[in-house]
Amino acid sequence: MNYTRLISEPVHCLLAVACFAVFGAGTASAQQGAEGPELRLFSSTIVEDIRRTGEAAATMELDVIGSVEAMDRQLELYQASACDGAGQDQGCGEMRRQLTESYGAMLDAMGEALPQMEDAIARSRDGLQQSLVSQLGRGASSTELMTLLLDDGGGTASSRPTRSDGSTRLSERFRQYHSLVAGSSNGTRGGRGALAVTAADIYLEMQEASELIAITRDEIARAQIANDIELALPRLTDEMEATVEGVKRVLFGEGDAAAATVATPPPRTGDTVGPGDFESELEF
Amino acid sequence: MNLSFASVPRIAVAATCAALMLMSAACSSTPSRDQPAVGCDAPLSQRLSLAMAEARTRLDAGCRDNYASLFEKLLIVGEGDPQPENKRVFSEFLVWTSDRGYISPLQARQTYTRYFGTKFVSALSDYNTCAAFCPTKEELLGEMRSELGEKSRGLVNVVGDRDGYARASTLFQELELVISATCAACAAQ
Repeated sequence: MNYTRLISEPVHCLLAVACFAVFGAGTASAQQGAEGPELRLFSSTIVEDIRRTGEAAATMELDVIGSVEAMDRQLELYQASACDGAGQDQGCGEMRRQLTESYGAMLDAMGEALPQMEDAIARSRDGLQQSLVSQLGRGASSTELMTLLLDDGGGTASSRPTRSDGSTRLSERFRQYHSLVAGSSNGTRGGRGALAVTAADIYLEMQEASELIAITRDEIARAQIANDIELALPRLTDEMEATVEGVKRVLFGEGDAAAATVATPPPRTGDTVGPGDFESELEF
Repeated sequence: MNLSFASVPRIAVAATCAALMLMSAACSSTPSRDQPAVGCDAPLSQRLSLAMAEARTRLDAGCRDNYASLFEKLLIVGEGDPQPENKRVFSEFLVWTSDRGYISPLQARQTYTRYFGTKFVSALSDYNTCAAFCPTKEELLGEMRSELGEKSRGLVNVVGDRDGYARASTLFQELELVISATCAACAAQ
């Protein structure tokens, strides 16, 4: 059983959702476009739902971090005691039993938090779904979508928020997204395109998170049964060590990626066409 | 001249032969409807300005059915010397062909936008996204992907405008994301 994936993937999604909670609240203020009809993709209700989803993710993260730290300490002691291959040593056996119990506590913490996460994500997702359908699905044609995306004066990948890849610590993501929101509200024309991209990204993330949580809840149930068996016959498995390392990477961030910039503020307003560029009457 | 009955058939035959000769000569100089004018498929000059002039001459001479081939040849010539000015040259050529009636104004705009514009002709629609785009989303996104290749050829290879192509490429990525999310939301409703 791949406990690393079991633990890391839902936390990946929770990190992304929580970060978008901050970004979504900030971009709600950037809905006042300088040109074209106003887009209201993030109503106050949706923003509040996303905030609660972020809180649920943060709560689960704290619960899981406690269990992970306990396992980490126990694992260090186990390795320092040279218990690998120690056979029937009583002390090593007791440490293995404690490790298995800590692992079970981590699974229990996730098992209790996931239903709340699932409900919070469903509320946020359903609200955003309604907005997307009414304003972009039935309220706009694909031609209007192209115009909306181009009118931002952007057209460079760095001006848009990027999907989270789970490699940065949660607190750092909050700080970087706040900087992005502050940059979006100054000097950019419109902002409707960035809003549409953000809403689309969050919605797809939530879709994936909902599906993953449903799968994860089933796997946790199976893992808990398997762990109960391990308690009866305690032995330290490679999967448990890998799981602890995987969860630590997710919660505390990769060493190299932690300093990476998630997204940069959008560029200042400027013409996308240079002063000497030819513009034909034929172009749509 | 004393015309007798014996000489009348000879005169008639001679007149008939002369008429037939004149008719065959006329036919040989007039292009048949079933065959293109001579030189429609001949290579163009490798200098774009000269190639454009040659293309105009051929279209005026009756090579209208070879328009697509001529335009392709012009693109190849343009790729041989990419310059920003080529954008204007192709625009003027398309306006000229539209004014002459060889293509419609809509065809001219679509062709120009397909190769040298940022927007995607494949995605142009006046109907809402849920109804018009979502039912055939994968097919339309495939057409857009193909059109992105044409923009690469026009903007990068013919005009040398890498920034312009980057804008089109980014628009494609963002439009794909927004449309994917919107269509998923439409399907869930």
